[in-house]
Amino acid sequence: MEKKDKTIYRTEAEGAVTVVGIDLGTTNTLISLYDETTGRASCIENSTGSCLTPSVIRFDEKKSENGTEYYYVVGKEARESADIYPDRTAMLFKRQMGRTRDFKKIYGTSYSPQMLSAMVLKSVLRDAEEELGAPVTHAVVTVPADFDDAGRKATLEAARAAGLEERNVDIIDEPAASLFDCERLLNLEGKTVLVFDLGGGTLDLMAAEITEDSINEAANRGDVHLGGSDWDYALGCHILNTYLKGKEFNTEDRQKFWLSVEQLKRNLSSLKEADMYVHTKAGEEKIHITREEFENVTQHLLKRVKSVLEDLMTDLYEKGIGSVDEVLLVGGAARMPQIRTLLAEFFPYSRMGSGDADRAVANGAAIYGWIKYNGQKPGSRNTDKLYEVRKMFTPRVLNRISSRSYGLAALIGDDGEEKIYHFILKGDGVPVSVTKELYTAYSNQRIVNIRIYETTLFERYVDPDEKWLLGTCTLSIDKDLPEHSPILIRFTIREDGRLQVEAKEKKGGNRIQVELESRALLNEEAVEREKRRLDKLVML
Amino acid sequence: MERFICEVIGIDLGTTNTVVSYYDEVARDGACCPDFEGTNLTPSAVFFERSQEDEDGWSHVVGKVAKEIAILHPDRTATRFKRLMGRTTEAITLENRTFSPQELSAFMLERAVENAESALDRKIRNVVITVPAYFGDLQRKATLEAGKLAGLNVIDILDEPIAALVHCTTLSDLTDKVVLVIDLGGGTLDLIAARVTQDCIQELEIDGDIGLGGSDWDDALTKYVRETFLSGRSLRVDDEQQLCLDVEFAKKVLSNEKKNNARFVVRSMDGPVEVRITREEFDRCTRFLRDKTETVIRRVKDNLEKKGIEKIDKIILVGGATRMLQIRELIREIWPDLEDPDIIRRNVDEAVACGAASYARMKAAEIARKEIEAGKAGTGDPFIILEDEERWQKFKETIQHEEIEKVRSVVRPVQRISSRSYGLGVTVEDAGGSTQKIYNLIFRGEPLPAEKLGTRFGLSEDNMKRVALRVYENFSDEHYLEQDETLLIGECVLPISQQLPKGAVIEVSFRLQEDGTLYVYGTEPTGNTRIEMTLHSRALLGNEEVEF
Repeated sequence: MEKKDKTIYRTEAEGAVTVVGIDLGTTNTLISLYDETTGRASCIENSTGSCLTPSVIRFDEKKSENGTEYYYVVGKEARESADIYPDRTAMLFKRQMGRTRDFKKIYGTSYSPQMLSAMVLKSVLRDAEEELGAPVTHAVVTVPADFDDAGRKATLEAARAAGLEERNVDIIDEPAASLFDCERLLNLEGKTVLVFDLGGGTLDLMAAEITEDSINEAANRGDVHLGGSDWDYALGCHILNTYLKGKEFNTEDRQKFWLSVEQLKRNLSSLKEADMYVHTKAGEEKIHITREEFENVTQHLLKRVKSVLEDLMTDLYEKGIGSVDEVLLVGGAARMPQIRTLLAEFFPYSRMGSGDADRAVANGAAIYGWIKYNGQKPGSRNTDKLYEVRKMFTPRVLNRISSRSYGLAALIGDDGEEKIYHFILKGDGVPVSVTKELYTAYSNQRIVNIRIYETTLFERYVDPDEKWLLGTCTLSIDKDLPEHSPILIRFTIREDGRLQVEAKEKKGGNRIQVELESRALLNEEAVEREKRRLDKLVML
Repeated sequence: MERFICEVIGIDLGTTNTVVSYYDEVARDGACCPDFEGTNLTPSAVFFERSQEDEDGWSHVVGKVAKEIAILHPDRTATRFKRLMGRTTEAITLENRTFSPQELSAFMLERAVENAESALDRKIRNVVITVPAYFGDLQRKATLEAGKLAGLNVIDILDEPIAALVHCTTLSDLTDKVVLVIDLGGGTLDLIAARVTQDCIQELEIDGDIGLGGSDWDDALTKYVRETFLSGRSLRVDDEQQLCLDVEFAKKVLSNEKKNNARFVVRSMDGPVEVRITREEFDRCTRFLRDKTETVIRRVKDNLEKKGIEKIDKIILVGGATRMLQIRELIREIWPDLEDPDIIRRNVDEAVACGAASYARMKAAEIARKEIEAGKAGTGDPFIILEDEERWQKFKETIQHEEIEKVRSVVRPVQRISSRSYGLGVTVEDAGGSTQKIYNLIFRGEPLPAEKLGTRFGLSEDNMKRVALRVYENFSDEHYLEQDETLLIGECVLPISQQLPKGAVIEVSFRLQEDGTLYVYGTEPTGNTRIEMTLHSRALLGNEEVEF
């Protein structure tokens, strides 16, 4: 009879790589490990016994004879004290990833969203390393499918600042990750699946066709500013305007109010009516809200969800896909009954499935990471058991599409009208590399200004708008060239959705790799600096 | 190959949390199905709200929401009702309706099955439910009733620590080891010592305390916080609720070796109060609970030594409350040389459900093999576990394949040496005829299934028309003990068809099933009348409510 000794994770193997999947969320972060012996991924609990670590950081200072020391606390403790120390608590910074370099100033120091994300990453990595008893070498971090280039790059910067090596970090879209987990138990082969992911901060939709050996993304749509917290806000405003008109709050009570609103919203997903207690300067009040009332005051948000859904269906129609077989609900806010009702109206003939709404993304990322870093190397682990697991578990290839169109400003046609000329269109498969020939505008042109745009539009040529400008760079030409000399420009989107632009004068000449200047991103040096800064701070 | 085939799931119906698992054919172990609210643990709490369709009716909500509003609506929320199982029929009374612990448990089971159906994408009807090893006959019966009320086919009832042990055997090789499982959950302490052999798990000793669990630590700490930080202050009802949740959180924080203190803020009517609790304070105010735990653990150790078992090879800690450092220290104190009890390491709250799922899989295979041997499989008779013909074929292939041997080597049959922790007896008059005593037929710690057939009793009077058989549960190792009506679990009446003299012999037999169900048979001397008893008790529901 076979004797079996299952250790939870195999870390003893020579040169073992330890891969984690991390769902770096707007409101909560989760970390997951893939277990080779079971072929399942599971989330690591933090020290409070929960898999969900709130993406909230509180800074503390401690004065002693040797000066002031600074500490930070990540997670539940920080979340629950946010109402007491609002000035030194940072939260919801994911929404600013790739948008700004200064999120909040605490104790006189400015923190970037990348740096704050790195702190959260460090906290969950520590939980994983305690569990593993070995350092984490590789990670897959998830991002919303609708994240733009800067958001993706900022996420990678955060991972590096948290101490992971760039070549060992990959990013994957959240809805795609959840598919890797859900297919463990649900038979999705040969089906068209819509992943409906409504988290705390973002709405992310992805439709994919699943074949025997691949996941083919067909369309994606989303809204990075629509999430459960917007429902909280709408409900809170309604209560303030309807029941608490003219009432005043002190700061602490106001914070407490918003926490109670969030709780009330969650309760109304299960209950048809619920109470909340509010403390104002005038005293305590009990407020009674029915689910119907909640749904009425959040109608406008549901309409936004609906319009994103409609856009996605249009995209699918254009690709010749008329229906989806299965709708997968992911994300905490997808639990709201109004969402389920909406989806049932939209897809009356589709099966409504919910995997592990909170953990599917992190688990899927861990599975994806394992396939990426281990799975393609058969024989690297010489055990029969592993082979058996691999036999059952089909490592599918993920074929992504781009969530944005990318192009540059060019003078088009005889009249030289300036347009954005898209090299890559939203919906094109990635990874992709497109090279086009452009021409100098006049003779002896020494400098070519390249203005790169990122849009959500499908047309090849669109009118330029500065809100879409991603960055600029210059190609200098060191010799005289006649008018209309060819210049080659290459746009590449890598597997993880990041953009790379290269430019080159066709006949030899110098070649430049475009470093996009961005208000929000950090350069190589800055990332290193953030990393050193972070190493010095003590995490409690 | 699919991961879930056998169509039987395992449910840990706990005092504070309910967990549901399936057997994963690929990994060959149990795996949890997540709850709708996002964790594998569904709080065992039921909240009632007025039904909108029917004016007099109630609709119920279970889980996290119910737990969190329990303090706001104490009159409409039921928690910790497992402690009442088999003891009363009234767990909560609303304005016009009373719910029994069985009904409340049935709500939890319904939710567990919903969670499994959603994760596994399949209709589920067959379940294995776990109970504390310390549960007596009535509690086990009540658990079965809960299963029936939820519309489920309960194929077996399994002891929680055994389930945890079964789970551990799927994680690690424990063959030829003596293992002690300490299961300190939210509401109960349950201990089992067992020897794992190549073919089976032999129980050696069972003990526990049905009224000791993690929630008692919460209560003690809450009391301490009130006395130390909040004396003379009054709290609003929602702040009371927050306090309870904060205290539970503080306990969890202090279970982390690296944290020496926990902080939170309590809002009172007289302003906020910052509470800071050190580990030392926590240990001090819960010392009596640690001591209670120690008593039970030492009793098991002593009893094992009496049986000649001096050495325990492995200790397995199960249940969320074993995360507390004081429990780990206590174990190191009792067994200083033992390696760390870390087989499960994490997910200590899920081990019982996972083990139940593994056991369920083994049970299903056993039933299936019997069906195949009986030739039913070929005749198109649907298999009792898998009603769907296609799935039945698939399952048959799986278990006929060599795979089954591997499953059996991982999940071993359980040989119950002493899972009966109560003694069972009937009342008799002592020799003098003056007092009534309980006479034990089955003793605490007998192997199961247990039988005591044909015990003979003399009639106490001439011309008796009937004899009342009153059955008592007790903890005694003695043959005779004092009558105590609180121990009564049921009674039945054996009618006597003809006139008989004093001293004529009637026979009484007890048969105790593996799931803890007791059957009582009585025969009068002439053999003309026999009775078979299903126990009647105030704590069981009437037949009109449950169809057996």
